[in-house]
Amino acid sequence: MRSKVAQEILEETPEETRIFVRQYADIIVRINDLLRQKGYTQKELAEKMDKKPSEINKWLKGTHNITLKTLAKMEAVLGAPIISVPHERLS
Amino acid sequence: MVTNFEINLKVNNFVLEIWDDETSRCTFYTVRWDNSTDNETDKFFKKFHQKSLYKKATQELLSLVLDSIGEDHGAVDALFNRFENDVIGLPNKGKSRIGEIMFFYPNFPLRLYALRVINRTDLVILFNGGIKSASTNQGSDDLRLRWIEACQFAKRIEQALQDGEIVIDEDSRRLRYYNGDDEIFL
Repeated sequence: MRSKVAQEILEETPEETRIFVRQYADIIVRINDLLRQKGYTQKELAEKMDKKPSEINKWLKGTHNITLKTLAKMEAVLGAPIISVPHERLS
Repeated sequence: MVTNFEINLKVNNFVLEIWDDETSRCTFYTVRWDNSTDNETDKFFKKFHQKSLYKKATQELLSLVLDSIGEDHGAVDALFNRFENDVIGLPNKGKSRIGEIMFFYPNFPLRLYALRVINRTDLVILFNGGIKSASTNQGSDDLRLRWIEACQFAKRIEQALQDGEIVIDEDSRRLRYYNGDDEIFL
């Protein structure tokens, strides 16, 4: 069973909202898993990403959004993909 | 400041009931006062979805609960990292528990309180919530009493789990009353 209220709100929720939320959560969980696996501290990660502590702090406070460049740098430092795009050619 | 009256607020006579059991990774429960027809989680979502200012945030929060937690990941630490005494506040906060960089949902206006059953990722109890209008729960008028109430619910439920008044049915990912009943009246 599902709450009727939840079902009604979900039906009214734009698809793009759900995609955004799911992808954000996927990235959070993925980065957490990779950091845990690597055993990096915040300071170590900042150093490896060549970022200033103040910049990291802005992320921590939630005042800066992540950019594709940052994600790419993180992928390089963590040595594993965080997001991936399908490569197959569409006919 | 919390008054004695608020601290002494008692949580008695409520029903623990399923809110959603259709997702693949988690069963969600909620609480309903014995004399109420609506459960606390429905009250939260209904109230804020009706307000245009909070409609989008309500939809995002519901998607986080049902899509990301329920369907994709379960109640993992990365998504349950906003520790608020006896309960967890949703959405997850910008900074993860292991102190690394997470920066999502900055300044999110709503909080929904939740409890992971014995820190499991597949059984979550959702309560009510409100608007986060100040830096603390205590300072947020709409949130303060809901938070205190959620903590009281959580304490009562955790005590019942500890005493064996509520048991976990592993096969069906359900909570049951000690006599096997689905109806859990606390």
